[in-house]
Amino acid sequence: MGHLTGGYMFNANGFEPVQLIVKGIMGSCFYYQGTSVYLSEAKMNVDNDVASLTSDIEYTDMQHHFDESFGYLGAPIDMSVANPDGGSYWGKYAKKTLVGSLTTIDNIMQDGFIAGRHAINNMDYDTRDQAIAVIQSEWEMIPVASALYYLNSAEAAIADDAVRNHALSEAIAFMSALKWNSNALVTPSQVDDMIAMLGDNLFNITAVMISDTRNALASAYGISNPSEF
Amino acid sequence: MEFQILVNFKFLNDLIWPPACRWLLLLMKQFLFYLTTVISLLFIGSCSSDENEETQYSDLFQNVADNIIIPRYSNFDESLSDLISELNNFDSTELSSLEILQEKFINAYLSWQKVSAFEFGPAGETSALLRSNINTFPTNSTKIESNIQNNDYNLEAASNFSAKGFPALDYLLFHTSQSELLIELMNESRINYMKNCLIDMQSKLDYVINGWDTYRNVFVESEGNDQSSSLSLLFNHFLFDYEQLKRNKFALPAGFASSYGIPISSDPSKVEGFYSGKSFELIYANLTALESVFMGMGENGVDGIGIYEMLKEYNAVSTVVEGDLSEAIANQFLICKELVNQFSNELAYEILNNISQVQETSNELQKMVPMIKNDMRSYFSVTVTLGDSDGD
Repeated sequence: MGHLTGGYMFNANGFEPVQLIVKGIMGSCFYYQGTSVYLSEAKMNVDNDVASLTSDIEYTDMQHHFDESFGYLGAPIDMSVANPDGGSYWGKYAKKTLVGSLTTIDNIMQDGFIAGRHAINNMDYDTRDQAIAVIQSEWEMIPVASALYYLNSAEAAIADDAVRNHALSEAIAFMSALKWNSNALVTPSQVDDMIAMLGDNLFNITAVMISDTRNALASAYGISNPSEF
Repeated sequence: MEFQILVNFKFLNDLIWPPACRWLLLLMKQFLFYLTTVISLLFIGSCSSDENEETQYSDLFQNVADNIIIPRYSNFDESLSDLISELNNFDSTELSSLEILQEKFINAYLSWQKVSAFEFGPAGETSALLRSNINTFPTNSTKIESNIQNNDYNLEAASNFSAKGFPALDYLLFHTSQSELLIELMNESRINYMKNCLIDMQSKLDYVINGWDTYRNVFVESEGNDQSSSLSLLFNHFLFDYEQLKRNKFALPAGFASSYGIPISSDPSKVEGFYSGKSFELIYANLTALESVFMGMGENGVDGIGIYEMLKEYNAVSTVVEGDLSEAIANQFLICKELVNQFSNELAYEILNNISQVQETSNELQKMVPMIKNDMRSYFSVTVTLGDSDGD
């Protein structure tokens, strides 16, 4: 049985399928491909004969794979903390890191994608690998920040079934995404444990359950200001 | 300054400098032009930053904290305690006992209206969430009745927020005639339910009152205008509380509100204080409470530094009506209060029978929004942080 409340459609326990599907795909597809497939050893251990390129529009296999990863971020090429707009999917949710004063966007762009592509162009693979590590850990902060943001929204709107359950569904989906990073700071079972703290019926959740989940997520990532997101 | 120097040079150029030196003069002129431009820009730049530094909000924060927020919480606590002790002494065989209980309920509900704008600091924390815990309306009478009947409920569960707080008491104390209420309230589980609601409310309020012991200095000493600054918090919750009043207490039940662009049809049962029929009194108390925050009027009757004075310092101008923004907002409060006061029946009745006057009042309530949300906000250089979700 489903409920249509306040413009959102929920199942009987208050979960909103569209968020679980859309953000689920953002996690299992875009985020997974971006952090864990195209930057993997298999995709990085390929041709990079930069010297053989004859024009600006040509690229090596390695450059191509690296650019694929950037494509999954959905960010404009000049995105920065100072200029965070214009992204889509992860590139759009990257702005949630700003609310908590994180410098994620500059880190992933400057020290991640720009430094990494430059290193590949120079066939400097140690620097490339450092940049990949930055991308993987900084990208991870986007689902973390987004989940914190939605947990805060849910707490602020705890009395409103529609807004609260929508926000909780978003938060759950963003937390689930954390499982899809091969270099994640948390294990999939830790993610499951945090999600389980929200219970199995969002109509019966309490403010303390929401805040405990928020604090568990924040402490796993060393975030000391979770309520500011 | 810049203009004057250039004029002087023109004068020199024409009268004093021989033609052979003109090339040098041109160079100097250009150099001086740039120099004066740079100086002027520096001057303008330092001017505006000085102004920001000079505008001290600590007097405002101090007055609002010490003479408004803290005494209001304490008054609210007192009226809530009065209500609780009246409920503890309730005698269902005495009509007068019910009448006193109802009266104490109204007093406490009116007292709540004076603190609802301060949902930041302790009031916004997990342990308090005052607005949600205390005043979620419309209430869910079916849920209340089933909770009472099953005698098994957790008031902390999200689904019970619409079955507790003042709106639940409003239902339990006013939903039928006094004679029937007296019969109903012989049932101990109904009284216990009200007691549990009140204990829930009081525990949240205690948390807030204790929290202000330490938060007071944090609030008063706050600087800057970022999202966690007192300036931003005070502004945003002032605006949010006003918008709640304008929309949820008035426009929404009257059928003037929309959600995601879809108009919501009129539903008088959505008014605040539906069962007691005290909507207008509650709205009036809420308006007056916001007005005195704006004016800086303390609970002790002393008119101190308010938002009014801060906007005066900026010589703030309204974009909604002609002239001074402080006066425009102060005047709009008077207009709205007068209109709210003009109705002779309760709001639910007026929505059904006198919609044109309800519409006129709604229009004037709406007129205040851009004065706060656009004009006041821009002088304070803060961003709106509360309100609509991102729509995805």
